[in-house]
Amino acid sequence: MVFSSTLFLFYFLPIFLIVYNLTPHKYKNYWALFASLLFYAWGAPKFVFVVASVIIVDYFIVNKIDSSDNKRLRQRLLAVSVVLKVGLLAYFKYANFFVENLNYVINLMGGENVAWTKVALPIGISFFTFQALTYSVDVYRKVHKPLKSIADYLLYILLFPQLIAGPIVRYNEIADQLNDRKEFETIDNKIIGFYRFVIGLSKKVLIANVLGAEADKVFALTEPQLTTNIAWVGILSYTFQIYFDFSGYSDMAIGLGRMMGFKFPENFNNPYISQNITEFWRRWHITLGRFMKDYLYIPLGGNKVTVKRMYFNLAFVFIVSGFWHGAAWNFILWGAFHGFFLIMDRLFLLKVFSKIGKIPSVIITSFITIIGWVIFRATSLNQVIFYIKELFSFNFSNYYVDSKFWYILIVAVLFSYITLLKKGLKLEQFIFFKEKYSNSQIILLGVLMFILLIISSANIIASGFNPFIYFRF
Amino acid sequence: MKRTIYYFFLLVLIFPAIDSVFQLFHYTKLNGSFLPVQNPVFTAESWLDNSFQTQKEDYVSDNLNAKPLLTRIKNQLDYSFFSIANNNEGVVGKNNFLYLESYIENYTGDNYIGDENLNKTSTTIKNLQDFFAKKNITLLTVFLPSKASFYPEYIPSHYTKKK
Repeated sequence: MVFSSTLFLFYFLPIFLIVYNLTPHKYKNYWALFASLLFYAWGAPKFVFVVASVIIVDYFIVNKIDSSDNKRLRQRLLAVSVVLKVGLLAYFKYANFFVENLNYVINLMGGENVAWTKVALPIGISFFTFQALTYSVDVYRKVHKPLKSIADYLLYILLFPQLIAGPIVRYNEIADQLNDRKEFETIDNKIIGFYRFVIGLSKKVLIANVLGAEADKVFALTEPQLTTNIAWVGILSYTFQIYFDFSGYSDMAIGLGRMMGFKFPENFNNPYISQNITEFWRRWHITLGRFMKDYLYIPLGGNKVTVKRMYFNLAFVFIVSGFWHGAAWNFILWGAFHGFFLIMDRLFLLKVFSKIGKIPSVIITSFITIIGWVIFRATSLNQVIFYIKELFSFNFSNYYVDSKFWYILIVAVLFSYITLLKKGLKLEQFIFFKEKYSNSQIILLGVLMFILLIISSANIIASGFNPFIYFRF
Repeated sequence: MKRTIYYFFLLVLIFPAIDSVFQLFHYTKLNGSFLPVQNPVFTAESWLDNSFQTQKEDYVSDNLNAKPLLTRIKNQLDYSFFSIANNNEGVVGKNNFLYLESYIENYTGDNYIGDENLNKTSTTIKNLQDFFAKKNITLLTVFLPSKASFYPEYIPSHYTKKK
């Protein structure tokens, strides 16, 4: 059940919110957990039992980590807890990939394939396994005490707003809210949360879906069908689709959390205005970047090692980060591509960017990011090569894209780069980060949100309705 | 005030469901030919293989009482702002002339089936004519002129550019 579906928007969400608002504080977590279990069982009915079992077992392991004074035992228990969760991810997400590649190598050597039944990828597994890892590591590091009940731990992992696509909420930043969030459950937060949800929904439905349809069309073309102008239309569509889709989903999650009294971390901060790739990763999928830094890069030694080792750490973290996005070679390549530019930044690029000024730096960084998206979006390494080649072949053709696409693309570009201007930054602060609005501001924004909600709903309902008008004659 | 606005929005969200259950409003039905989605029967098997959930979501969406209104809002916005006709094959031409895409492509030759297929088809028709002629039946083959061939000047320019 995605947030932009009729069932979620008009049935699940309003019923959940009405009951949640009527439920006394001490029972709110139980209602949220029940709804989250239902939400996950709807999308991954087979897997819900597996994940619930793992969480319950892990709860007791982490409790033991907390109560034990024996350092060696604590380390061993942490290892068991980490292996349990990484093992879950490795099996469900990467087993198919490893077996396919193993079979490829065996075939090359003239051997026979290893028999294997493909494993289905459960939704949200990449996100909640990372959250669960922060639970055991934070308790081990004594950053925070473990949760008092299994129900709270299940809720932390399965909380439906951020279950499917994040933000990745670290245990230590939400632990207190799981126990008590009365103070944050104000009417201001509820209404700001709702507005944030509508903004996210509109980003997804009105912008990302329109651009995505064009990107899908172009990326389905074969090598002979692709020309330079078509390839650019395709990759620009995808560049803004992925941003508005993912950040839209994050906005919806943050908004839903806020309506429930949770304060989730921000996941995006105008990534396309970055002046170098290092900055891009401080602005794009922020919660993943922070996770990688605190739970992988720093434990590897971070910056406090030899220069060579630091570059190795950077490359390793980015390759892992790429692989986390999907079990395919192009994701590994995409991670390596970004890791390469991060190392180049440290070697000399940052100095170059600081000399050439803000706008040229933004343009060059955007260009690097766009090429990176080709690697990310392509379905094979062969497509990566011919697509990038076609971007610069200067072989043009007649290709029609309707006016709706162009208008939406202009809107997407405008909102992606608007914060380069001071007024744009002010506008963003007003819409996204203002903590309290006056009554007149609430009404003004309310009218805008009402219009966006109706148009988004109309698009959700009507998107699949393309009747054959001649059939009735 | 803020509380009123918040609950107003909750009401806006829940209203389509209430309206669907109690049929509070009557909306003019949508025209056109389409297959209605059947309400799925719940079984443990259909739940576990996700087919129940997929079909139920489609069913709920298809049977929302306000679907005709919301569909018309979307179609009107697409037509008024972007000259897009959201039905199968519909194309808005110059001066708001409406076409079906396949007729335009027939006219511009974009869907030309090739000499070989054309020869095959004409041979088949000729054989049929001969067959019926032996039974004293005349088979006439008539080429229908389409709207696109009568009003080629209103065809959107991106189709004629391709020609």
